[in-house]
Amino acid sequence: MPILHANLETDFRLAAQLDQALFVSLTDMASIRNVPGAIDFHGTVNNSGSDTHRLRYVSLGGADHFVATAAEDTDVAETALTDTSVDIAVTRSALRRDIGDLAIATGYGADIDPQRLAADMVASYDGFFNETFATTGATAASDVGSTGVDMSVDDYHDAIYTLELASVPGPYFCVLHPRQFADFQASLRAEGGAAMFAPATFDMLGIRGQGFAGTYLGVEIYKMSDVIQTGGDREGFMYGAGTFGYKVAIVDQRSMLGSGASLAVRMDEVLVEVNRDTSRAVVEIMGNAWMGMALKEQARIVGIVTDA
Amino acid sequence: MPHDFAAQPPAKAAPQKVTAVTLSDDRLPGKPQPKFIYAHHPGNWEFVSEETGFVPRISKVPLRPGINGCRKGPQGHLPVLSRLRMEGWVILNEDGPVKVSSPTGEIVDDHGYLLRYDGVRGATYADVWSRPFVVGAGPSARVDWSSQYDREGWNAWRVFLRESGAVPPPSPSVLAANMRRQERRSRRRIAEAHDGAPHVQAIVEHETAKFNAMREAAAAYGAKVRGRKPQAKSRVVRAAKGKRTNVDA
Repeated sequence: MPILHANLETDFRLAAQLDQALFVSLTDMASIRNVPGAIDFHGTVNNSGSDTHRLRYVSLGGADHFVATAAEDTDVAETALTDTSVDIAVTRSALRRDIGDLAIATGYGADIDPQRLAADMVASYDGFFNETFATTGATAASDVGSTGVDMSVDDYHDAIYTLELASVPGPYFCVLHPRQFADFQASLRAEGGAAMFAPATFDMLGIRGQGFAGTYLGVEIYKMSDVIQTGGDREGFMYGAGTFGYKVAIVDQRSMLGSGASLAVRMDEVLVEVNRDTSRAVVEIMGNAWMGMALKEQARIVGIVTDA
Repeated sequence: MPHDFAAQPPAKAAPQKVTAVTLSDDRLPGKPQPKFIYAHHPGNWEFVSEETGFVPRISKVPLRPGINGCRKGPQGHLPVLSRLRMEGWVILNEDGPVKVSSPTGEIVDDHGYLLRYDGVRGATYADVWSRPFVVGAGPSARVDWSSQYDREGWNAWRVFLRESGAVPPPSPSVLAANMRRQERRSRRRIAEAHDGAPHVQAIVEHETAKFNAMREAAAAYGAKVRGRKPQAKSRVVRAAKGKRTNVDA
């Protein structure tokens, strides 16, 4: 009788061997945080006395023009300044992962371990940041598109016209749900004329990161699965520079007092700490971030509401 | 109390019937959605159909700490709502009357639009018109929120908001801007329709018909597009066949 693999599985062979490679399952890694001009960073709330900061706007910069006087000696009335403000409240977000000592010890060379889990915290924060961004953008006061109707090139044009009519300065950015982008592409196929969609090339992706889908009529298009849904529709949006802003809080050495044996690493805007729970033989990896975001000026954004 | 040996079960008790425990999890997969409130900005209206006319567009305002000045704590959302009111938004009460479709397809009255679902990763909030369906299982499971959405109920509610006065009537200026936008859409590809491409003809006809319907609906609010007259469908068809027309004039 030959020696067959099937006969060896009891004592000599494995039913399934784990591959050495560790892959990341499909996830939307789009990140708007590092796209130049897409969102304004307004610094930290550190040492300021509050977790909420008020951004002040005033009608300067030529908002109030000179007026021609009726006569040479006309007494000119005072023109009051128009002011408004927007609040950004910085709040905490966090992610915790625990891994047991035995799980670490039995791992392969390329496996989940405290180091890898800690390094991944920034990606998770970026996902949170994007989700916050897409949710904030859904509060646009003016929308184009039609409920229950697929997104079309016409909707895209309407969005551009709306921003241009409001004299919104560029560059313009367009954020769409993948469903909206797919419908937009389908509509684009039926287009004629000189307008041309420039898809994201390898080089462009390298600069801007995942989520950048291409450029059409000078507007950069970003595709995000975090774009929210309202009324059975997706609420994408197009906006100009200066629409969004965010602030953070960054912990300093004072917070580390008494942290004992934990290892704290400040990664960008995220604080990652690794701590051993010796009584449980578990390593705790904790990521903390403090961030707040706001849609600063409604006039600079238009929602694109189309079928989900 | 003295120990009663007679009351103890025998060492080898007879097998007892038990109900098999089935592990089930009816919580929704995917990322949790934050609590929200619906609001309407007076400058945001849309024309859905001839039956509904112009209806208010409704925005979902997330009440999540860290967004638009929302703070942590039970009253943390108040600054968001007060700012919206200051900017002219109408906040729609989450406990107010709504219209939804019944299983038989009729529009019926109900109350409250906000629902809370238990999710694998925390509570998720949706409106009453959402009909979540879980597709797949395990790590690849996802929730389809949109394909079974009660659009009829959603639109009926928006009509109700307009007719009940819950939101102020649309300004003629806002409707005129909507119509100008629609007019641009109907005219943008008229030149290609001249070339006889059937799909472009269909688009132009659809957009033109919608524009004409919008004009009729807007007339009730005193809105009009300056210097334009409704285009008869036959003229658009003639345009599509390449004959001279003044549609684009």
